[in-house]
Amino acid sequence: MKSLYYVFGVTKNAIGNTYEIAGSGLVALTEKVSEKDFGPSYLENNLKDMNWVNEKVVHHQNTLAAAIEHSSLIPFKFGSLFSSEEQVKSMLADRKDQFAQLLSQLENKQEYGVKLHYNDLALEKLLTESHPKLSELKEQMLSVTAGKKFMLKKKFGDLLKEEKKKEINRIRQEVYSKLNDSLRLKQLDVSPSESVIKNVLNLALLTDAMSFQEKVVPLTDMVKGPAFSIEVSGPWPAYNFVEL
Amino acid sequence: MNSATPNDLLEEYDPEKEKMLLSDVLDRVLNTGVTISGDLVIGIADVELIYVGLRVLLTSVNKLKSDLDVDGNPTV
Repeated sequence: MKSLYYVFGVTKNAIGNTYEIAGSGLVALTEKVSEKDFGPSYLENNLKDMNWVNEKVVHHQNTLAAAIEHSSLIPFKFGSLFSSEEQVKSMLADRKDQFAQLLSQLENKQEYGVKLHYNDLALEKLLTESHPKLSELKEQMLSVTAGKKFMLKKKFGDLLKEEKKKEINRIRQEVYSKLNDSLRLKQLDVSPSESVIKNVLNLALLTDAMSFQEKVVPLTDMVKGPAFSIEVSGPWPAYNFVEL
Repeated sequence: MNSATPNDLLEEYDPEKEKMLLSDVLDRVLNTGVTISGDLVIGIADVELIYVGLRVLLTSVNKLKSDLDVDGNPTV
């Protein structure tokens, strides 16, 4: 059965973790894969198998994660396949200048993920206790008739919704401004969630390790509490900063 | 890949966190990175399709989990 060449990414220097194809002053981090996995006639079925997809996607990430410890690199999207070494070399030659420019932009930098979450129940509790008008309405609801209680409940609900929105936007803006001030960042889609923990800001940052320590780590301490939290992930290969 | 923490304390194992990280991996590997079709076009379109499918699946898993109580019984 024929082997195919799966390209994980491109670097300037040999790393030694994968099958490397050098050409045009660049190195393609590749792996020989079986046609049974990625061949056009097998792939369609394999893509329907969640376990197969998970395994291959995690392998793609792990290979690149090991490589970024040694060199800056351009991560390729999942499933970049070539039929021969010559085709890989030809791709390196065709894109040589673009790759070189991109690699110099990525020098010593990696991608980090920063997500802002809020806990819906904790935020409602916090606002109900700290907002004078909301506390007052809550108090009033305890000592009125059922009809009036219905009206007050609606008023309370509307105000709570409004105040929640304001508070979420205030914290989002604060986090965004602190990072946008000095780091290259991209806003990503928020992660969908049906739980009480909601993701309201999802950022990818491109930065060096020192700026990460100086700018991002203190933020996780600043936004820490029952209502809001920051989740940081990385370092990642610069997936979100490598458009050609 | 490590989650950055302000100190080196061992974090408690949290399966939710693991799922979120897997979701981040899928997001990045399937949806971003340089798109160069090799001479074998396996269909970037196919990958886009599974990506959409996986997002739907992950959302469904989250929804299913939130509809079950701690013992796995439906909440409604």
